[in-house]
Amino acid sequence: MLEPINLKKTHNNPKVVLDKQNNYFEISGRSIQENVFEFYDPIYNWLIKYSKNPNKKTKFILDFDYINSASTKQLIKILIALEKISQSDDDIIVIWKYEKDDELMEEKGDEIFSILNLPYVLLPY
Amino acid sequence: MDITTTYKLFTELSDNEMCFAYQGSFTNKIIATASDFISKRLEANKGFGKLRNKLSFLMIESYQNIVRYGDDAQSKKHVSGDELFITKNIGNSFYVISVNIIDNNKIPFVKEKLERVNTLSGVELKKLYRDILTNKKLTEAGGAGLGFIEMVRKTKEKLIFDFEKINETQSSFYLVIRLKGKSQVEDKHIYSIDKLKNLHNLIKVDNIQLIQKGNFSQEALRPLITMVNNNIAGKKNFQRKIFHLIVELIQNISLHSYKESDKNDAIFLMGVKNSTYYLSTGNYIMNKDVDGLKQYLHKLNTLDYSALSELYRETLVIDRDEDLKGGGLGLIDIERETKENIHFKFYKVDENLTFFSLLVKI
Repeated sequence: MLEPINLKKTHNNPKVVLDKQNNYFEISGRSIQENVFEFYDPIYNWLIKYSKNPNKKTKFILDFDYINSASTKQLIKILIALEKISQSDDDIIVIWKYEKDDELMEEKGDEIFSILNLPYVLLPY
Repeated sequence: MDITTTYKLFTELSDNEMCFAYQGSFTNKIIATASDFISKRLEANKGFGKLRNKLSFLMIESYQNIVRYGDDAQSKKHVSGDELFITKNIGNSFYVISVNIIDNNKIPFVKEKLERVNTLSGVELKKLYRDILTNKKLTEAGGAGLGFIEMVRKTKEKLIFDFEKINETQSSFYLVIRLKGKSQVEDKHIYSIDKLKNLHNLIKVDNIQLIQKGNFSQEALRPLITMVNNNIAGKKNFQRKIFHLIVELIQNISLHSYKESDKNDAIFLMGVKNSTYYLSTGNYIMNKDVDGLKQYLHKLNTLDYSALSELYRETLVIDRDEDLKGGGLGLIDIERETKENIHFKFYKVDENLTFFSLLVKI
């Protein structure tokens, strides 16, 4: 059993829900922490385990108000781990949500997915 | 404001272990954030932690002083840089400083109140405080000088003040509250009001909105974020970009600057002229790192937007040494978001250290 990760949103950290059982995956809020490894390594390790035995359909929601460059790099690492799922028979889609008119987060989404092989949707709201 | 401003101000504030200067629209929220941030920083030091409530109180009194005496004058003619709020720590003392405009005809009245509180003993101040409260003799400015009395009672220090004529009708009113730390160390620092005036002039000339000097860690971002959210005019996307640049610039300092016993000594400035925002940082780096950084910045400055984006994408997937905590993306991102090239300058300080300043415009 893969225990879920549930982290509350703080001033520097986004909210994180990784829950295999309820099939819910979300990272949302602001990511400006200084020590990105401390925060993102457990998430990365969790997803590596998950990608070995994923759910039939995975919908991964990313909804950042703001993400700094150091966190972006960690996010890429995480998403590369998810690419493995898209290469198998199972389905995965990443939803990149951003506030309508937020050019910065729209560009960031474009940029991130342009270097990945992962099904995604940019979703302004 | 140009690339030399940063080092000039850093030198000007060299004896300030911490300084936070701010001009712009004052709200209680900003004062609360500033006071929270500063008292947190000082908690572990010099017994200031215990004075936390006192400090917050003094900041609010000081801020109300700006509002109270600045109000009438403000409506006549308001030039940017006329109002300023500063908190700083030098040696064993903590200072809360306000600069605001006062009508010349009010000066004798305010001066008399200030001189009076400075001569009274603790007992006399208490009596005066009670008298004013019970007689309800309020002054025309609405304050009855109660604020000044409280400032002296809370600090047990004389108020430092001065007036500097601007024109026939108005003057700048400088008010400095000093609060000594409770540690046993005697503090012989003599506050120089001339230095304050000089700093005020530098701020005014370049329309600097904000200065933060001292140790930069993640905590340093908090008040800056509040200031930006409250003070940047323009569209939301513009605010977002400024926010983005500030985060990357500050994290650049906290990750890469030279540290002594885990603390750095750096400066951040934000100025605005003709709708262009100037953001600048300055910090120490090791001499051996200067050449590499210089070359890297020169390289970034030769790349256009699409070349920068390509470099950004390449860097995103490179697994860098974990020592390089930032991931090497910050400067590329900064260069992409600004109007012009990154301006930078290096000042060799001694055989080990160089002061590195960086300026971007948006």
